[in-house]
Amino acid sequence: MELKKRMKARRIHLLLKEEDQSLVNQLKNVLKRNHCDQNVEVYCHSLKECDKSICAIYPDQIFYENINENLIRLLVEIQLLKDNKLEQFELKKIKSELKDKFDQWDNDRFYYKQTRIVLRNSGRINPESIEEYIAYDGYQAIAKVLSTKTPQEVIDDIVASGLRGRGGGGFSTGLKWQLAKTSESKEKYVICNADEGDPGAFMDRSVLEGDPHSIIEAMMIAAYAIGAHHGYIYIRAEYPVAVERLEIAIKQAKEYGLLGKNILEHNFNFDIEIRLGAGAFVCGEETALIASIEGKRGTPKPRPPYPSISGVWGKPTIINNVETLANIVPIILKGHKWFRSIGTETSPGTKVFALGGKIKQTGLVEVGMGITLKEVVYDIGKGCPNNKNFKAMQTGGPSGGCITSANLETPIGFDELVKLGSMMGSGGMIILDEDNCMVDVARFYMDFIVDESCGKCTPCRIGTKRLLEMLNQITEGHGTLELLDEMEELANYIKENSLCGLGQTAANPFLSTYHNFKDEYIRHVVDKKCDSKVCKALLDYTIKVDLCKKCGICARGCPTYAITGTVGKDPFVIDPELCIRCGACVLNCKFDAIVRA
Amino acid sequence: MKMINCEINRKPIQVKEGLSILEACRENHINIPTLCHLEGCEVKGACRICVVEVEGKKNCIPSCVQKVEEGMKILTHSKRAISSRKMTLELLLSNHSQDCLSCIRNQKCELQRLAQELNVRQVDQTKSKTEVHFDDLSNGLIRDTSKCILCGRCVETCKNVQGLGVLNFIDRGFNTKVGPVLNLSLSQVNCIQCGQCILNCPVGALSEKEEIHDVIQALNDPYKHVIVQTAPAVRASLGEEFGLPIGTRVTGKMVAALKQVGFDRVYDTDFAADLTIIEEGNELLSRLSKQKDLPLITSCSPGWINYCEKEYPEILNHLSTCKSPHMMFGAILKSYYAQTKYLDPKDVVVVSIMPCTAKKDEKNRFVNSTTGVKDVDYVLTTRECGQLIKLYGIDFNHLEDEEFDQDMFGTSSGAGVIFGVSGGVMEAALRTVYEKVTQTTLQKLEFEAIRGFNTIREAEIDLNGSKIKVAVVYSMKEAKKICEDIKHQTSPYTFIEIMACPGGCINGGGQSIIDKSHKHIALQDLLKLRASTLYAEDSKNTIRKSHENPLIQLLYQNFLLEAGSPLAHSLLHTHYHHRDKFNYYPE
Repeated sequence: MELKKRMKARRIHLLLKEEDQSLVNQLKNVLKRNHCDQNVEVYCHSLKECDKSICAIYPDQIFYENINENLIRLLVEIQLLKDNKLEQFELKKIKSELKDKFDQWDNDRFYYKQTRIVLRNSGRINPESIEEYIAYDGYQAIAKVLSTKTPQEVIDDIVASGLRGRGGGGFSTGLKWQLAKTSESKEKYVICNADEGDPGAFMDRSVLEGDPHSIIEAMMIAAYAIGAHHGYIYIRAEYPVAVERLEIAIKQAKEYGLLGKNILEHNFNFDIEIRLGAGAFVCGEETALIASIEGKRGTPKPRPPYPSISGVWGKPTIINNVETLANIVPIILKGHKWFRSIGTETSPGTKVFALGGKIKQTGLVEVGMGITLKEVVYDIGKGCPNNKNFKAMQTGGPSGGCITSANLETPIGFDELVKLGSMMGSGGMIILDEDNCMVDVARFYMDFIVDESCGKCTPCRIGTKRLLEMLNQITEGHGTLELLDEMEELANYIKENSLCGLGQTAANPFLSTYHNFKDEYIRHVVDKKCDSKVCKALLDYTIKVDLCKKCGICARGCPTYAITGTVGKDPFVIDPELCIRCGACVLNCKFDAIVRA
Repeated sequence: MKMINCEINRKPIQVKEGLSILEACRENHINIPTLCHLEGCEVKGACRICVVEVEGKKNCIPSCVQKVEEGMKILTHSKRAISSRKMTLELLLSNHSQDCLSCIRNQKCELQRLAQELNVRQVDQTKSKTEVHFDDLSNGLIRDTSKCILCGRCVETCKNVQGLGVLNFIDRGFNTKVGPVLNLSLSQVNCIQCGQCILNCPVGALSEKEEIHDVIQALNDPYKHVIVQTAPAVRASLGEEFGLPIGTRVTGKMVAALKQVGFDRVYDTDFAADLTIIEEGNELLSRLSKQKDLPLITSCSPGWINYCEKEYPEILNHLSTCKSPHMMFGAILKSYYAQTKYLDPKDVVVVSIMPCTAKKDEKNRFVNSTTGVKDVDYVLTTRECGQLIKLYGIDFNHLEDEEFDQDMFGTSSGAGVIFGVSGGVMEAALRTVYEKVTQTTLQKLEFEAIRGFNTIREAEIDLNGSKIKVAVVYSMKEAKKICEDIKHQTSPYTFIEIMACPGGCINGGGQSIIDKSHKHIALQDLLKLRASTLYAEDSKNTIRKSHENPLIQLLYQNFLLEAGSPLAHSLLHTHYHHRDKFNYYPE
């Protein structure tokens, strides 16, 4: 057990000769024998011309050749478990093509189902160098737009591409631009919404940190299309690296004459200002964001008027999310037909998800729309760790909802997810396994919502608080069936009566878990049991008389002296009144005599 | 104007384009309740009480925000609309202190009325509540967040009417409360104590600091001689406290009631208003002759004085040094009156009934150095006056009219009574100053150019060939512009009247509160109704100029000698000083 903990996660790629193919199973057996099959992934590859068997260990990038049964045993026992190299067998001078091949295989294991448009440059270029961005076709799109396209043609392109806002609602980006273009005003504004607030989502940050120039270029294109001369990037102050890199990028762009007056010797002026947000979740909502930029308290305003008509300083404004903007440059360069070729009819393009929770392979994944949720979970994410069963997937952040295993075959798309009672949101994707209690999950997200409600309208301000209190009541074992009905009524009321998007979706953590896992709620309420063993108040610790050796170790470790008995004589018992359900006794008992239920 | 066809409660109706559902319904006499809506302010859609159901829309629609559209089918009282409203109200009540019985707004509370209308019969009192802040450190106002429903009407009022923004939302979510910056006390910030926020508060979260009990104690003290004086604007609003229509003149009933309550003397502050005109007119003439510290600005509104001392200390020299009328009256009562009646000034208790909360603050400004006591001991608002009368079980509406006490200060001019309306002080001063300068009789006493209720009114007066420009302003938002001009010495005016409250004292922070969500009366109409009472009293009066008031003349002959005399200065004038806008450590 301890050994396993100390061992690093490894990936072994095998390239085997025809006659050595049986070694794969042998390796797996050896791993199993040494209890480290959970930490090591084994991949087997083949090449046409393969004269000797090679084994590559990643991420260490160590290669061994001429493997045989014996070497495999040594490899596992010495290299993997003890972290010592087997120098005498190491292949030190591997051919560079072969190494590239292995590198690619290692990459593919995570990326082979992914399509990278938004994250195309992240990690590839130096984000603090405008030259590198330009070398990767940077600022080609704005040059193309300025010299060959009218603003209307740009908008037509974006409309034709079918690009939809990646920030939450999925409104057509082209239409948004069109609305702002048609509003008559001398001053217009372009805002990049980089106030990424969903717990667990960090794709916007990744783009801003890895490829800041692409956002600047996209904002320029947007400004040209609607006739704006000023842009704001509203970014949360918790992203200092992104802010720093954006500042560098803006400075570089100004030095290159890409921001400022008469850009690229065309009659087009544009400038960008960075505004730091204090990290309020609600400031990701368009109208609240505008208020915050204007220096006011960040609370939403009723719409209409929409920002496209009257936005920041009362002028027509378009607000696009970072990920949306990151799609603009490729669309302009490669054309809307190319963009349409990726994804589905109603949701073209790709979507970045922040894969997290109970899943082996976490991180940002960018997939073409239309791929099934199952593929994301099992092929890219590699399923749940520790052989646990997948229970549900939470998408769309706190405003989103849960998707159960029954719906995993659904292809990803804006409308498809809404149909499942969840939403795309900004792309957080939290995987939950059998150890997660859904009531507790709902309580967690509700707690976040209550914290982040702005307090303007009554349903969200007080309603969510009451809903949270009711959820707490259930997890503490005071729930009733009537309470569940009351909660459903309250949740629907919040949904129908709140002012902004945050409020209207504020009850989703409850509604979605309630609809999908009603049994679990009822078990909490009627039987007062939490099957996932999360809700402490519903747990019972008991000592099995037949297994108890009357050693008294459990009693000594109990912080509240809830366990009584006489060493060697009477079996020990737990007083449920005094027990605080900390679980210390279970860990201390060497005979597995204490059960939690 | 384009008309729009829609259907409200299954009845086809035509409404003007651009109206919100709420406005359209009000025009058609359908009552949709609301708590946060305030005419003339930004539409917030915050309280969600005014939601209605619109066919084809998934969610309930806030009627104050949504404009009526062609062919819209609106249900204002469908099952869903009512249950939503009720749920909102129950949520509000669950986070409300609910001590209705002892609340200052009991039976005058919009939340209470709504709970009655929506048939709320049970509220869970066990739920957690937002942390409560109670602030009674300032002299005029009390802020009690346990009653606040966060409708934001006070915030809007402070920002839009007074341009101050003292009150705003603090914290977020369930912890949101309304208060000054850093949740300081109102006494520590740039609050001018005008009380306009109280007039717009639907509940009892903002209220005046009551002094009724002190007054009753004084009345019951056999050694005290308790004198009451009533401001001109009170008589235009006190009737509303007893269910009379807005603008009913209740001067006689008010006097009768106060006499029944047991005050030793009941005087009219109008007398002191005449006195103010003599002193202020004299000050204007002397400044005109010296061409110094012009324009002269009136100093009758203590809210305005607070504003000037905190926001524009540079222009304090432009303020008239005259005390406000009730303070002058207090000084005279505790000197001249006390001497004449052989009373110790310490035993004379002066109670002012004022339409104002800032006067509660003003009375504590200085101790009069000549008499050694405060000029005024207690200030009651119009609302408190109504409360006092009710406390003594007086059937106000059936009282016979009575006259103010006639002995020493019983006569006042029509010029004094119009002090209560914005423009009145200016008009009264002009009546006197014109005649003093030109030595001719003024033909038309009504200066129409400075009447009415535009925020800024101006006129040009010909005083024996030299023309002077005068201006009348109300609300601090507008006064700010004037102050900026004076600060930069670009003001074209010679004499300016500034009142803190919109429309002057008739709409002061101490006046009777109008249920904004029930009686849909526009501010301009309200002002007109109340002002007409005072203008009528003026035109009925035989003496209409302050300097023609025989008792004023007598007062100068017997006591003060002449306007601006050293005695007059020590009794009737004051001085101003720079005060910090923010004071973390209160005095």
